[in-house]
Amino acid sequence: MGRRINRTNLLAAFAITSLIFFSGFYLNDVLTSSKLTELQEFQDFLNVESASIEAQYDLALQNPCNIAGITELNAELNEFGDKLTYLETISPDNDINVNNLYNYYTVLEVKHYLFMTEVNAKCSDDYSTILYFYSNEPQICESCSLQGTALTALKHLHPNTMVYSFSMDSDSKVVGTLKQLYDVTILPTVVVNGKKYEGYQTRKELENLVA
Amino acid sequence: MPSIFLSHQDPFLILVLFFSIFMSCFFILTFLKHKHRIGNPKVKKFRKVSILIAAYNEEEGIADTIRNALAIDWPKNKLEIIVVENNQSTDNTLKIAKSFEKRGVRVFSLKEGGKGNALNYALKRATGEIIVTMDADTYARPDVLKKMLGYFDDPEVMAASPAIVTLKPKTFAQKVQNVEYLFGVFLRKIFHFLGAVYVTPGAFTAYRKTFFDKHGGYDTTNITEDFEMCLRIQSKGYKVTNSINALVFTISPKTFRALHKQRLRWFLGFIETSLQYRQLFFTNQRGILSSLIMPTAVISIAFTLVLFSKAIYSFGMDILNLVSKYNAARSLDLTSWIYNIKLDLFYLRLDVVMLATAFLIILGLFMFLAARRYSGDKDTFAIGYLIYILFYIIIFSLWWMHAVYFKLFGRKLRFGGVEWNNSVLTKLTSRV
Repeated sequence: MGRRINRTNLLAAFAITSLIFFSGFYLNDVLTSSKLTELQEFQDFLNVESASIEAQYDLALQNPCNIAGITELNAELNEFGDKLTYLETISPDNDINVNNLYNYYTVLEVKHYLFMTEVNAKCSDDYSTILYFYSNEPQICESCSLQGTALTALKHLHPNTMVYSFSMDSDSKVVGTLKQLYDVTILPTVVVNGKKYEGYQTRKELENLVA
Repeated sequence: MPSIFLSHQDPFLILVLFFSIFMSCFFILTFLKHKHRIGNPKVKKFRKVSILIAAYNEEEGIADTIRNALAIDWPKNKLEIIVVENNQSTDNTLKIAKSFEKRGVRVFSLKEGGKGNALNYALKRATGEIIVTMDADTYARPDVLKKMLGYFDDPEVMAASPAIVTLKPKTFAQKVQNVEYLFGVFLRKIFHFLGAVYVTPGAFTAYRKTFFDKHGGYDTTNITEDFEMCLRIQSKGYKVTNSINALVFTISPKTFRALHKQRLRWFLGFIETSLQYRQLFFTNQRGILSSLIMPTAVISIAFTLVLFSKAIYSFGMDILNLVSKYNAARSLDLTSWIYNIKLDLFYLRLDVVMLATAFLIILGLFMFLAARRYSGDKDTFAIGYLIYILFYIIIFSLWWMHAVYFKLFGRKLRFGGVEWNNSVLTKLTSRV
């Protein structure tokens, strides 16, 4: 009698434990999918914002000054980039959805960068632009996470600084072109207002460069 | 379907969590199944009881212990108290004990050290049908014997154990132990239901004298003689029982240093005695005791050691990482960190490990509360429970590593009067 009770209890315990674990895996899966969906919707939004700026530019007969929403768009692009990086860490390696999101993100970034360069040339506003080349692999770039931290802080302290991050881990063609253009060999590398600086820059050093 | 089944999770951690939850569920289900017979059988026959107290340098607590033994609710003509002071105590233990002779307490003095020796000496002179071993720093509620001794009506029962809790925990170390003991109270009753009690605490346990007559007294070379005795009883095919509400209070070590010493003896003794009785591990010889409970004990220890080592390794790697980052960065920009705090719900992580850990904590809480309720001991703090989880695992792992190290490389050690020189290194070098 005792043995049968034990066997029943063992099976029940195993069933309950398995249920907990499968629920956990399922929950994880559902959450990650919902985050992916959230980012896809976010990207659609960014796409519209970007197109809206282009439309305003054209309406103003290619006058880039006084166009609404440009600084906000850069902040939103940065937020998108952070979230996408996080999604990458919790998704399987080389997830096609994540890759697609990232490639299109680099396109939006470059568009914005080119637009800001025109604004600086033609308008009285003065924005600093920083192109940031990095890798998430610690073997390739040890101090990249610190560099990212410094740049985030810099942007909070100097809202007129536009930061554009490009990951060397990706296969984005846009990033490939930029890499060739600026001859990026060492990571991290920042291009501040057109000038290239290789290696880690502290927040103070960056502040001096954008001043 | 789960597309990221096990990615980014440590599979070993998942295994440990699975095993822990599985065993906890099993224990709780066993508890619920047998809850209706959690009470003790009534004492029908007042058997003669001999309480044996071994004492070495216990002048502080011996008087209280003897008084406590005298106060136990049992017919006076069926209760015998024997105190054996041994190892030539350097304090007033003997003198204080002798002052109770006028109340019928029999006091002896033995030259040889070692608790086993003292108990065996007392055993030879005991006249009771039931033998109760009692430590000199233990306090039993007066109703313990009435709760425990009913089990001896079953002729296959050779031992009855109580619910051991700590007395008036004050220091942090004591509060942590209090929670630990309460878990032990719950688990021991579960093991009773499963017929798999594997420790009869020397602090207070009742034995049937005929077992000693037939199978010998305590092993004087063993540093955890109470554990050895229990395994001996189990290996001979007899029953060991437990009363969840027979409360016995023991004074727990106040500091972590003293606790370390105690646990080192326990763990080393566990290793030694387990090897001696290896037929009770991972076999089907003694039912669920040998096929599940003893293996679980060993597996839990192994898991703890591996997890702990991994944690130390990854912590070490993190430190190295931080140092190299600092070198690369040439500065530690702390104010920047503040701007990097992400408060978006997007970053909230809910994975299998978190869910499993949360569930395990809930199961643990259930066991803890059940022990409190059924033992009748209300003096434990709930906060102690949380501290237990966090703190105890680390300390527990360290002690186990130390014990394993001793088993491999230790040289002559002394544990309360018993000399131990049984390490692997010693054995190998003595053969050379």
